Amino acid sequence: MLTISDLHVGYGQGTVLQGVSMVVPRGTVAALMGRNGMGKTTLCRALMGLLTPSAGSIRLDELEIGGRPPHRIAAAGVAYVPQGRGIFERFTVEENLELGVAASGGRVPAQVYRWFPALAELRRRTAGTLSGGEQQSLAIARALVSEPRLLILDEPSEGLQPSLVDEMGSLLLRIVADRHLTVFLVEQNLALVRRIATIAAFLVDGRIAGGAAARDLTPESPAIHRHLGL
Amino acid sequence: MDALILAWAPLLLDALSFVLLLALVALGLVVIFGLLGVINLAHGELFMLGAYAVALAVGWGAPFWLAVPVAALFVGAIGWVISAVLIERLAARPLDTILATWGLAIALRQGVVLAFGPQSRSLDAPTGADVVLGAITYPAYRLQLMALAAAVLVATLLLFARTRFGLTARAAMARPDMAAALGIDVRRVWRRTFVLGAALAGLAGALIAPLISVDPYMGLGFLVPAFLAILVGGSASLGGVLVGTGIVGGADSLLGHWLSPLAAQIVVFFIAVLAIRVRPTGLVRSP
Repeated sequence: MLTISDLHVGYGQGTVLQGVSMVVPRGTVAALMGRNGMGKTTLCRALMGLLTPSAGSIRLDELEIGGRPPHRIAAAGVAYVPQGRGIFERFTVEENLELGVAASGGRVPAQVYRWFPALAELRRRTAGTLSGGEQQSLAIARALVSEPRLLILDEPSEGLQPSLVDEMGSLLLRIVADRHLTVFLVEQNLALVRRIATIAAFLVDGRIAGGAAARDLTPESPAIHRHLGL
Repeated sequence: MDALILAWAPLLLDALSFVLLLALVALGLVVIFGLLGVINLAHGELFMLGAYAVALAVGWGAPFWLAVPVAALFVGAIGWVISAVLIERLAARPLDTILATWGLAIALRQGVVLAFGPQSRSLDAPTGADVVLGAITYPAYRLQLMALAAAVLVATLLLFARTRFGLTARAAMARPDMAAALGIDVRRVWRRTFVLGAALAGLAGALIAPLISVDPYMGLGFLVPAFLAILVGGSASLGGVLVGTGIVGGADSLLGHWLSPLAAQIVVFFIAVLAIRVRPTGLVRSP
């Protein structure tokens, strides 16, 4: 279970997150939605330890991870797929996956290749030469090799065609059920949110401006209009 | 034919041993620059400390071949302290690290002057014997030095290309944030890399100690050609270092036989300027 309480995070002078609180129960997918510039990526980076909160707390089960260095947070069972995927383009697919277990000294579990069979064939390829969909698979696979408890996904559907988003959604649902994984999903794609998330929260100007059951959301929902509409 | 071999073989072997030593110095520099983005102007002084460590240890009665690895480890330990106290505090401030390491270089040089005096000291080669190689005879120590330097170069290249430490170090260089998010302690990787670079400088200094006079100012004479070699070969790959040191070190050493050392250096600078003019990012491009 992920518990965020009264989290404040800022860069330099300005505070981007001004008291965010959220609870994501174990084994569920929680979506965070909102327009660009509302602080979604800032929240992801703070969860991963890449930004230090100025106040508030982040707990993973009973463990306080807020303000710890990222490698400690990773060791506590948090994995991160950043916006833009964060692939090491000049490394091979296999090396990218190996980096996911390099810190723990383990090996890449064979299960990952069963989830992403396409990657098995691409093992020796340079990651930068993969298609967008393959790179997204690689980024998610790399996050999963460490067998995390919490998976942070920042805009995973970005730049993917709808059929690939669909495929990714099904696979994520299967993995979440298999591993009892908790997922913190930042996403603007309503179809994907409806498909895999249980709850959706809306981030507006660094604060949570409301939440809803994900399956109740439609493009016509007032909340979607207010927080995502143009 | 025999006369030609007699005349050329020792020159080429001298050049090769200089190139290999220079490559050790340059490799340490480029590892630190490539992975940490730090231009370490105290690298020549680390080299000098390696030479002093060997000279002192042998003076106290330690066998030379024991003193060499001890000197490398000692300089590596100094690198650990420099990294923790200085480099990591200036991370992401390239200009400040240049100034800080320049100041450190002065402090190390003057520290050695205060402790051991400005005079140079010399050290006998551990094996004074010559080896007969076909038509020529050549000092055994220089051959041992070449073999050891080549082995360390290959081992370092393999360390970065093939091992998990190398993989994490390359990852920490390419995307430090992503590496950290994958659980890699980026700071520790940086520190180990700096220690490795320092130890390489220390090893080169230790190996050269029996061949040149050991004095507090000896570092500069190797730092400048090492930088030049990196500029010529390119810092994007470790292969570039070897090409650059081959050209700069080889030309410097060979020309020094016919010209005065000063004239040789002028020619080397001229070659370097030309090479940089033709290929500003170095002769060897990144893969």
